[in-house]
Order: sequence, then C-alpha cells, then structure tokens
Amino acid sequence: MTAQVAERLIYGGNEIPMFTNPLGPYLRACKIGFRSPLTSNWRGYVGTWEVIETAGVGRLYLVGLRAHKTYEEIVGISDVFPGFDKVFAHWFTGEIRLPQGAQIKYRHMGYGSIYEYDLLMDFKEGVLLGKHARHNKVPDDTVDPSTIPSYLRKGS
Amino acid sequence: MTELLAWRPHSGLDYFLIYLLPGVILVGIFVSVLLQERPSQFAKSLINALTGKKMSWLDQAKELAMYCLVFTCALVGWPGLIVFYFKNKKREAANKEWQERPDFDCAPDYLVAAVNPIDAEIASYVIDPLGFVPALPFGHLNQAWGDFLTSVEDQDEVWSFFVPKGSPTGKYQFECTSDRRGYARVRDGKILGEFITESD
Repeated sequence: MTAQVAERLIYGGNEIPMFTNPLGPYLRACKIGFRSPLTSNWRGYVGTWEVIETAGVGRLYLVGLRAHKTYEEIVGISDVFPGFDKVFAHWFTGEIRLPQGAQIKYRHMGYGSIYEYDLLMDFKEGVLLGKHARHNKVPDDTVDPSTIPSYLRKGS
Repeated sequence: MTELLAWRPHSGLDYFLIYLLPGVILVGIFVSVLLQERPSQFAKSLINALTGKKMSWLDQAKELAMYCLVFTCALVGWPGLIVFYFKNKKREAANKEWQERPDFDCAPDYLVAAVNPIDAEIASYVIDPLGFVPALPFGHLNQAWGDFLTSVEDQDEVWSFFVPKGSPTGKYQFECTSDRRGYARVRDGKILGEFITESD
C-alpha cells in the first residue's frame, strides 16, 4: 500500500498534516464511499479540519473537503452535508495524530512514516479533552538473518 | 457375465484386490482431472521462456516418481482420502459461512442495556454553540439512525453498547483504537445490526 495523503488541520494559524481520518466513522455509518483518484489517496477525499474554541472548549470541525464522487467530479462539504459549510465532528472519539519535525523513517504504507514528534489530541464526541506531544525514535527494523527461512535467502 | 456374478473371494489376495478397487477408481478420476488440467503447449513454452530452462530428463523422472508415489498412496489409502475430502468440504463450508457473517464492532459482551429508541433519541441531541449540527436526533448521523431504526423488526430489541479502547472487535478481533459507543439490534442474544455513535 502506498503512503497516503494526509488530512489537513488548521492549527495555530498554520495548516498542518494530520494522520487520522475523523470523517471515516461518519462515512461508514452513512454508507458513503468515494472514488480513489490515486494510489496515494485510497479513501478518495482530503478533508481540512479546525479546532475552534468556544467558551474555553475546543471542538473539531470539518471546514473543507475535496472528495472524488467520480474520477473527474469533485464534491465539497455542502454536497456531503447539505446546508452546512462547516461540520462539527460530534461522532469522533479518539486520538488525532499530527506529525511534527523531520521525517526520521519513511514507510511506503498508509500513515506509517515516522516523524521526530507527534502532537496527539484526544477528543470525546468531537470535544477536545487534551493534547500532548510524543518524541519518536528511529525504529529498529533490523532483522536477525538466522530467523529468515533458507528458501527466502538470496542465492538459496 | 453369470460367471463374474457368481465369483466369490476366497484368498486374502482376492480380498485385497477388492479393497484396491475404489482406489483404482479414485486414481482414474485423478488421472482424468490431471489430463484435463495439463498445461497447453503454449503455456509450456511460456513457462520455459519465463524460467529460462527446459525440463531435464532427471526432472521428468522425479515428476514421474512423484506421480507413482501419489497414485500408490491413493490406491492403498483411499479411505483416508475420502475422510479428508469430506472433512475439507466441511471446513470450506464453515469458512464460507464465517466469510459471509457480517462484521460488527459490537459483540454480546459489550451490550449494556436494552433501550427504548424514543429515549435514545431524547438523549442524543448534539450541542454545538456554533450551530454546525442539525437539530435532529444524533445530529449529522440522523440519516444513519433512521436507516438503523428501519431495519429493527418487532421481535428485535435495541440495546446500547460500549466497547472500551483496547478491546478485541469485529470478525478479525482487531484491537479497538478508541472507545466505541452505539446501539445494536439484538434478537435472541444475537447481534443483527449496529449503529455507531462514537468511534475513531
């Protein structure tokens, strides 16, 4: 699987990549699917999100969407959520991952690449509960050659 | 013909030959299948071109020896093969049934309580100070809730469920990456449908 194009989050005035798909549960519940335009975008859409604070409480909103209804036809938020130009993601409970800093390990799979830091935000029904950072280390991917079966070794 | 019908086994060899008869039929079936499925001349030349080598006489002898061994095993051990065939059929049927089973996050262990759908709706309104949620039960998930309610039949019950983070879920028993909540359609303790209100 190819590395996947990230969702976007407007945070601190900047648009940063987000390695979580909060729209996924909504689409599954409503049985909505999009067309993949590229192997780097199997889900068929890219959403732009924003945490908007009201009375000291941060909430997760979908503020932009480019979704491929067909290969050529691109739809936006108001097509998926008629009557809305922003959407409160009240169905989302979980953690969103925002990679920060330099890429320390590229993985050609989903959101598998590892960056120096991950900014993690916890949400409960779309409401921000807390955030914290995680420092990542270069993973030790070395394989012990003795564990490889002989028929898979080069030259066998 | 009458002579053949009147024939009765007398010696141990006669009984052994009778025992081998189903094996001979089985080998006959094997051979006919092999002949039907043998690669065409075109496929053979393609394989040769891809592998870049022709089959040596040693390879052919090995293949022949392998077939002889298989046929001998089938001839003598045909009861075992028949048992294996039926066991395999049973396993395939069970596998097909498992593949066709719907994949729900909810399992009986995660059911919390039977609920009245009207009470569930009353408690489901979403508050958003900015007003980016419709004033409907379950907000943006209202359509999915409607679809779920439509599927509920008279003999079904609606139960609320909660899957704690880290619990195994679904057919493949993947670890749940966040808490999950929702409602399930239950009949005789069996989950027939689900509506997820919270997940990641």
